[in-house]
Amino acid sequence: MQKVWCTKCGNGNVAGCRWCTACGDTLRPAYLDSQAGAGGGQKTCPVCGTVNRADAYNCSVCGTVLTKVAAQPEAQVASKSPPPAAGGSRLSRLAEARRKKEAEEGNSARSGGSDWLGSLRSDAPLPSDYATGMDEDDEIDPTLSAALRASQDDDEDTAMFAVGEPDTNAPPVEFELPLPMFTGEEPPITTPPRSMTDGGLPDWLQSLGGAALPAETPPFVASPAPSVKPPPAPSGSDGMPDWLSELSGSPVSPANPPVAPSPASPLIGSSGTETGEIPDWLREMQGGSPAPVNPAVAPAEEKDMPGWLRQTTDSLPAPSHPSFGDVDVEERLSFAFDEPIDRSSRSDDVNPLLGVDKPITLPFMFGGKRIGLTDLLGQESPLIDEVGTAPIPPADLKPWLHGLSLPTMEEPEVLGTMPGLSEGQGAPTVKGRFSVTDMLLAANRANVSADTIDPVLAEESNVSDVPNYPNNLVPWLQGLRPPRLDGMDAVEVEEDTTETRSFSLREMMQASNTAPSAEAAIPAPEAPVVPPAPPPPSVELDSTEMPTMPAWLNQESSGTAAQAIPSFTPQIPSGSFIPPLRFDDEEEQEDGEVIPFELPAFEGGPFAPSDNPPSLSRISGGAPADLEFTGFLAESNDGPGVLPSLALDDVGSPGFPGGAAMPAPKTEPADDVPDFLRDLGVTGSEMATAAPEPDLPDFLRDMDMGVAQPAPSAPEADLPDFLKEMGASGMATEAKPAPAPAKDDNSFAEGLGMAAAGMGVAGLGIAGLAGQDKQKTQSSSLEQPPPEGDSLDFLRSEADAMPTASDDDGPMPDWLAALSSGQAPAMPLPTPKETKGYTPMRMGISQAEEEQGELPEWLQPGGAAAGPAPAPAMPASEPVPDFLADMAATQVPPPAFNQNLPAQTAEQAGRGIRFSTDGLAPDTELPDWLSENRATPEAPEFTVPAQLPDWLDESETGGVHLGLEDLTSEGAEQVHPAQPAFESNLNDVAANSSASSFGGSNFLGDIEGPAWLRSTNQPKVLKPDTGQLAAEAQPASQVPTWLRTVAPQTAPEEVAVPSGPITFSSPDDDRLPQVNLPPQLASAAVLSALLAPAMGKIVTPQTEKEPITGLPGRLNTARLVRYGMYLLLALVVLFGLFTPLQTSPLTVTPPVQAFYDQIAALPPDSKVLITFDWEAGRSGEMRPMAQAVTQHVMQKRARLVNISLNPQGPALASRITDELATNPNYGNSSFYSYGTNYLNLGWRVGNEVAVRGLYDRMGELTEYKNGTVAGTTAVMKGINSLADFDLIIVLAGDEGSVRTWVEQFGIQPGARLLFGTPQAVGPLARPYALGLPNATQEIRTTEKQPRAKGLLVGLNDTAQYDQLLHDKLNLTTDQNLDLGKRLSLQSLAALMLVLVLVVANVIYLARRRE
Amino acid sequence: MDWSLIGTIIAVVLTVMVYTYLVGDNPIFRVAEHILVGVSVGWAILQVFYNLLLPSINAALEGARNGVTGEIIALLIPLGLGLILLLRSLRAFKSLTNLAMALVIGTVAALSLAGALSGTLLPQVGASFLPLGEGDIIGRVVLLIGTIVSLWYFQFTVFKSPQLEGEAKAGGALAMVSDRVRIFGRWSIMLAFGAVFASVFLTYFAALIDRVLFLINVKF
Repeated sequence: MQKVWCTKCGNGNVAGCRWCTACGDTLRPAYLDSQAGAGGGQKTCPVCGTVNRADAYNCSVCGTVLTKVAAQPEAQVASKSPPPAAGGSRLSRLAEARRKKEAEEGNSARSGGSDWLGSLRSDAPLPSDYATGMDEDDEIDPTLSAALRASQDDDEDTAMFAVGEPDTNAPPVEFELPLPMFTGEEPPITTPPRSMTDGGLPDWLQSLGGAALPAETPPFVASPAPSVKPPPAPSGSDGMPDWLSELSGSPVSPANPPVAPSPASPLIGSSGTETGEIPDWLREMQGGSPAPVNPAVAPAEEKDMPGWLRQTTDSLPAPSHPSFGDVDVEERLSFAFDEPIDRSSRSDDVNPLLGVDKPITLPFMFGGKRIGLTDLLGQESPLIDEVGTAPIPPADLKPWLHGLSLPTMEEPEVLGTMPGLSEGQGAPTVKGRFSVTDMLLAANRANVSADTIDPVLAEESNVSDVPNYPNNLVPWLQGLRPPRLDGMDAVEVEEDTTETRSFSLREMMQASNTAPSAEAAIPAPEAPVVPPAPPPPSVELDSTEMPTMPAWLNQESSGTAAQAIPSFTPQIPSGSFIPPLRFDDEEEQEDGEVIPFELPAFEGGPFAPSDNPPSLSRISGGAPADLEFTGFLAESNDGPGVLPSLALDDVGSPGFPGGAAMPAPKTEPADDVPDFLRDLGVTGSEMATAAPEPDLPDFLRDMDMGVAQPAPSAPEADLPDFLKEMGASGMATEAKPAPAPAKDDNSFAEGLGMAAAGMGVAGLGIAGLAGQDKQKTQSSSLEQPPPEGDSLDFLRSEADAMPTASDDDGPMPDWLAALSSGQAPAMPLPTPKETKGYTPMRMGISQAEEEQGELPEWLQPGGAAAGPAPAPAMPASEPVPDFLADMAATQVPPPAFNQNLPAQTAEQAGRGIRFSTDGLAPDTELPDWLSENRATPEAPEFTVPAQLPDWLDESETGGVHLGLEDLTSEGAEQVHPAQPAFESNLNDVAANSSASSFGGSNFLGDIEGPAWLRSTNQPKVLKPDTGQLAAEAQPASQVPTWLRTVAPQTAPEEVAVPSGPITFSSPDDDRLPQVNLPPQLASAAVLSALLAPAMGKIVTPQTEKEPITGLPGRLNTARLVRYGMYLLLALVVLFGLFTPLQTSPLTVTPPVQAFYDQIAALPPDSKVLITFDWEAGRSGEMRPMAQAVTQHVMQKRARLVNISLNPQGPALASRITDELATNPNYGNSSFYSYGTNYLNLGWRVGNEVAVRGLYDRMGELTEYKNGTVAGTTAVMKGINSLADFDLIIVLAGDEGSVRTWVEQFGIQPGARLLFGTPQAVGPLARPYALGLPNATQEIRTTEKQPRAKGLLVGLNDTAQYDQLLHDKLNLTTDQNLDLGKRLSLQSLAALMLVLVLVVANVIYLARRRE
Repeated sequence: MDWSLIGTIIAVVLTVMVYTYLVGDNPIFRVAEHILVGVSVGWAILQVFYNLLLPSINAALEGARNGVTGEIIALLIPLGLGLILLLRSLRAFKSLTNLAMALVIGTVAALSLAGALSGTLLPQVGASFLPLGEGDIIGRVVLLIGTIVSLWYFQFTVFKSPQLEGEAKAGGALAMVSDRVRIFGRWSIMLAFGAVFASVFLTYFAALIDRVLFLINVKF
């Protein structure tokens, strides 16, 4: 029985199921086991993944127009190395090109490597030894469940992209950031491993926000961390810091004893970029690998790590991996660091793709029973409920968005009171429901004034339980809502005013957007929800407490037309500065229709260092809004005054696109820029101008350069505090921060950079779909001069603005204590009463700082001394990670909000809701690289390349799509990447088979990431050989769907279908239930596909050649049989001719006798009409018959008239009649003369009409030979109609003639018809003559039935008739006819036919029995 | 020079050219084929001209000379209809040509229908039920049975298959009988087709014999 294997959980479902019975995921018919392994000649649907026939035009399941790209045979796909090559993304091709380059340079050892980013995908299959760390009796923390659900929701909602095509009235693009939302008291949320559904942000990105920002110790992580194995020897040759290598590239298999830490590890005192930089807790974080605890040696020991961190390491689900791609990040890292990849350190049991030696456990396994979020929460996932209502994307959806999965479930709203206006202004606080996204958006608009409240919005706010969307969003986009935390479902917020209504935070933001002075405050997180009855987190929005939300979040609520992310391939020479990109249409910018977009340069030419903010120009098609990267980039462009309210965790959060805009790339010297980034357009001169930033690892700089905006000058000292803090907290939360000695700031920078890189990628995509109403603001912000400030200042301010992690219970690590205590200005923390709610994003430590009282003391100002249970102070001699130390040294007091805000940012802030933190003074200075590169209106505009790539050319029709991939990829050949067709669970299988199962976008695959990110990913099912993996690249299908869809579309490649069902060794796969793809999304994709022009390379499927059967050339069996028949017939003919059969006198049959009698009964001078309705082809039978009949008629001396309904009949009649009439051998020459006794009337056109026309005025016809009027001839005397003839003899060569004469003349009373037909017409003519043989004479003469009076059929009857003539009348017919021979030959042929039929049937039956 | 000899030579050559098809499709056969088609069409045109157009024109001219306008008009009407039919390729005159086509089709259909009913259908029915008391009784019985079972074979709806659920036994028995009858009907039809096939074979074999005899007996 056919089964459909779930791409998520591997469950085998009955064929025909659309959703997995285990996890509920949408089943892909492509994974039918019967189709498994199907290779060539198939087409994979880019939308649903269905493997269709090669000649299929539409998908058999969803109807999507299939590009005419024949799926390549599996063998061919498998032979591709690396997989992302053909048809892959530009990044993939970039990687491939780099490999080639390395190979040329002799550095082939660097090439290959596992795609740890791809392996970090959340939907990566679990390894066989994947197991949960929870027991059956373990209690699931509801908060965690909520977080998990929120994280899952994020997955579903992060794929909310839309393409705006200004020139085609495209729908606006809105992307709702999937930032997990945390209440103030919520425990840190670790994103559970979950599948990357179509359209979610990478799990690892989402997990960054939650897992990396523990505000306080969650209740469920009270247990100490289990012992972990030390990671194996780091692969320092991977090109990245060894500690990263340890965490990711050198996982330790459970089967193999963990390798002791490298002596060079920083744990034992080594420094630099060697393996010693990684603290143990980081190692622990990686897949739960236990790090050797040695408190005496390293402060990063487990004991120093907060308990919640330890718990998170083991009990919490592992954060999702960055699931970008098919490009080996290790390779990138190696390339970046110019170090060989040492893969020997990997154990065979270690999944190099994953980089973990121990499966990350999930707390949702209960005795083998898979427990999903629904089970945990005891309710149905809203996503599942709402997916069914997903609206259909508009018709003008871009083709490259075909495969875009748009989880259109509405974001659940949270009940709460959110002040639409600032309390200080007396604005009423609105109570209602709002979503996380709304909160985020509100936070982003903290400074929005409430004076001018949009009445429409206000009216909308009165609508309860109805999500409010930006007005200018198309309906189907309005349905795209970010997820929410279930824990926030019932957040009741006390309202300050009497007005109570349901509203969303977006409403508040929109409302506050009209009140410049108003500030909306997002309540600080409350106490964490404690199972089993977690109180709903109270979300109270206070205008004075709302922290400033970054602009990129504001974009979500802006509602402006979402812009397609133009996919382009930058041709940026190495070292060139990335010029600002901006829209050309200034007017649209003013109108807010154009979202400025800062991206690395597109153009290939070198760019001079510019202080102007990068702006995005319209790439092609003149679409002003084609490019939209309005998110974090625009935010960072707001100037020093715009301080995104992002805590450290925000940077690492999945929805923090600003990660992509992490500053400091420009500060690094040009030498530090990796080659691949140089290829992206960072000129050497520009890099040279950038301030060196040695603290950042190269790959981070690369990422910053490639993803974020290059910082014109970002000295290391300018590293914002909050970033440093993030390195301590945010990163630590993600990577299990431990008081490891800060040996180098690179550690932090790497982590931050990785987060920034990863987030940046997401941010690019996110920003591309941001709302529209923010465009204007951002556009205006571009016009402002670049703010001057230290690099990452805004982030620092975010860190300041956001409360730091608060944990009363958790002991503060020493390094944190030292860090906090060492800071000159203590971060102002809001009073607890002022921050009741929480901020949409879990801002980690920064957020925790909002409530001083709730903050763990070790986090409160004053450092460890202030904490009730301060962690032991870090000894002076105790090594502290450099990045932590640096952060501590450089941490500055957070500036107040709105300080030194530039005009445009102030304006922007005034329109938004300010999440006031009451005392949190965000840093007012933007980093230099941001300020210099963004706000200047005269920033060099992006010029459209003269020759746009193919995909750009295509996009001209519907707008330009700019994807991050394009920014980071080389100018490789422009092939539209295929739409993602499959979930990525099979990617590992495909990867192991070296088959590129997906040729889609991979624009994140080339981005290196630290190992700790890698470690956060889910384990893989398969553990291919490390050596083999070195040469194998991850299939592009690991790219998240939403990313894949963002990328330009290419011809879909063949999807490597696993040969067998996907089985997960772990029966207790506690993957969270996946939200099914809403059918509406598929329908929408189908619609888009239908409306979109066919894209992709057309490959004509190869037609199978006919197999050669036996004999070569033309002599095959069929031909032999045919030739045999020919030969047999020839033998029969020759035998009959030369050896005629001795035929006895023929027996005259009654029809023949009747025929003879009818003619014999003619009186003299009777009028006989003989029709010659046969052609020359019937001469073999009809000519003897015609001669015999004519001879008989002439013998009766009747007047003979010939006529024909066949064009050839007159000639045949003339030939035969003239021969018989003129040849004296026949005895008629003395009587018959033409025109006197016989006449040929020639051909009469029109069968029935002709016959009917002969009923009258027959004498007016012209005769055949001379054209004389028939009536003038002697023959036609007294003949003017058919009825005037005594006998009509029809010599018909076909059945039509017989019927015509019978039906048109035979029905006439007294008509006398005789038929002479060939053998072939005999069976059809015989019924008209039935009954006559045995009929009595009376019946024959009296019956009125229209039947023929006689019938001659074929040679046999002719021979009989001729015999009668010869016997009775002694008439001589044409001797040349030799009727005897003809009849003899025909008889032989009949016997031969009988024999052949018998033999053939015997053979057939014999074969049939066999 | 005897033109008949030339004609005979041409006939022989063309006959041989046609039989080259036995070894496969070849240009020689195609040449002969094209010659046949071309000659046939040319012959048809000549027949139309000399047997239809020219007599009609002569009749019209004769009528004109005799002052008989009625004949002229009677000839002009079909001539006009014929000209209209020539405009069939022009879409603009499609509606006009449809009138002529409707006249032609309607006339032919009417003639055919009337002739089919009275000339074929009813006589065939009558011929199938000849009296059994005289003549070839066996043949008439066979004819009758063959006709019935052949028509029964095309019965698909009245009696359901006995395999269907919920069907009564009586109905099932009838269905089984129906199936058997249908089997006989099928065989009867197959016999008829076999007879037609054999007849066609004999016809074309007769043509082969004719051609072979022609080639053998040809005299130059």
